[in-house]
Formats: sequence, C-alpha cells, structure tokens
Amino acid sequence: MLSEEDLKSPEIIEAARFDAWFTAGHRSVTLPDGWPDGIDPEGYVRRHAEKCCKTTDTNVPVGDTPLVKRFRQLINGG
Amino acid sequence: MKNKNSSIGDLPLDAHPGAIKGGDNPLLTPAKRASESLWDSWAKLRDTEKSVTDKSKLAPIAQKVVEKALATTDKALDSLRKNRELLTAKVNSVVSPKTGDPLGAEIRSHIKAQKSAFIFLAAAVKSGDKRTLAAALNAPAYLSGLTTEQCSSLLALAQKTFCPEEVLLIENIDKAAARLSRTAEHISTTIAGRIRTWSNAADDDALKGLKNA
Repeated sequence: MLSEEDLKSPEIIEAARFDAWFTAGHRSVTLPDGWPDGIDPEGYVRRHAEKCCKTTDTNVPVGDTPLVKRFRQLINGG
Repeated sequence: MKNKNSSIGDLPLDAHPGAIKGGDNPLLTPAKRASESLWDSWAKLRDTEKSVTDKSKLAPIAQKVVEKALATTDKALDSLRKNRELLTAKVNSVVSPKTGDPLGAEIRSHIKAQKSAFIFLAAAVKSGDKRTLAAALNAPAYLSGLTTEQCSSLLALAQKTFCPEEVLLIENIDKAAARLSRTAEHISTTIAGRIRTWSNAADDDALKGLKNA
C-alpha cells in the first residue's frame, strides 16, 4: 500500500500537479505555481498516486515491467 | 529552439477502447482500462506536443506518461492471461474431465472399431455424449484410431459446442491482448523515436550557443 512518505515524494506530487493542470486545460510543460482552482492538493495527490504511481502492495514504482523495459531500450536506440 | 510543430498523429482506430469486443464482461475490464490509459496518454502527448516550444523539456515528461500507460498495459496483459487460464481450465473440465473412466479402454476400442472414428466422435459431440469424447481425448490419439490433428479438431468442436460463451470470451481475450500489444508497440516505437529527437534538441541548442561564442 502507499505510505504517507510516498505521498510526500516530490516526484509523485509533481506528477499529480501535471495531471491536475492538464485536466484543467493547461498545455505547457512549464507548470504554473500551485494548483488549479478548486483542487484539494492532498486529496488529489493521494488519488493520483493510488491510480497511477504505485503498485498496490509494494513500494516499487510501476514502470519496471516488460513493456516499459522495451520502451527504454527503444529510447536508447535498442 | 526547435519547434517544428510536428504532430505525432493519431492512433489507429482499432486502438480505441470501444473496439474491444465484449468489453462489458468483467474478465475484459483490465483490457478496457489499459486501452483507455494508452488512448488518453497518446491524446495528451499529441495535444501537448503541438503547443510546446522547447521540446527538450517535453522528452522526460513524455517518457513518464508513456511508461505509466505501458505499466498499466503490462498489468492488464497479466490479468488477461490469468483470466484466460481460468476459462481454459473451466472449459477443459467440462469437455474432457480427467475422471479416469474405468471403461475408458473399452470405449476407445469401440471408437477404433468404427469405420470412421472421427465421424463417430463428431456425432457424439453433437448428441452431447461427453463420456465417449472424454475417453478419446484423455488418451493418445492413436488408441482411438485418430490422428493428432483430428483430436485437435474434435476438441475445438467440443469446446464450442459445450462451452460457447466461454470459448467466445477466450477469443475476445486473445483479440484484446493482441490489440493492446499492437498499440503498446506502436506507441513505444513512435514516442521513443520522438524522445530521442526531442532530447537532441537540447544538445543542438547548447552547440549553437558555443558556435556563436
């Protein structure tokens, strides 16, 4: 399960912020400061993290899977 | 800064979540979710790429977006494999239960004595005679006067006859898994190439600065 420490991870918070701004219609990779209006940051980070960032029972970030490995190989010209 | 405003284009239509046949069945839910994740991620990347000026900043974010969608896809493919195994086990238990029929050898001798073992067994399937079929399928094909290919055909016929819904679901799972794999490959190949290009944009800018020094 996600720990409280995970929810304070800058990477997870930034990913949630990107998702929140994108959902709000923002289309630049340079995000404005803070959060879009009407967003509860803590709740948003938690929901986003549970949905996207972590597997359910370990702290291993999702991403180290066969398709992801292949994608990384392709990026490196493999 | 490079800004060609080039588009990564649209995904093939069969990558759309709505293209998953039987998507309302809970055993196909992982496929639908993964398909939505891939489709949405692609749409976000396509829209963002059009408006971003400094592509080198887009590269790491695009990588993360795609990796999340691919991880979801891997998880879905794993779930689909497990669901398929469950269904296959269920179908096999109906079509050819390994109960060790004490009359199995005699049944096979009777089958072998027929003019055409294959036609005899096909008729058994149509009449719902699972015991006769199981005796043939649970032993080497030659003991019933069949070839291996005939055995496979009879098994497929029996599966469709006795478990039509499960067989259809297995076919839909296979199609959905193949669809997901194709979409993941398309996205991986396309975006990986773009990420390399976008990352190099940073080097180009740096070298340009040196040239002008």
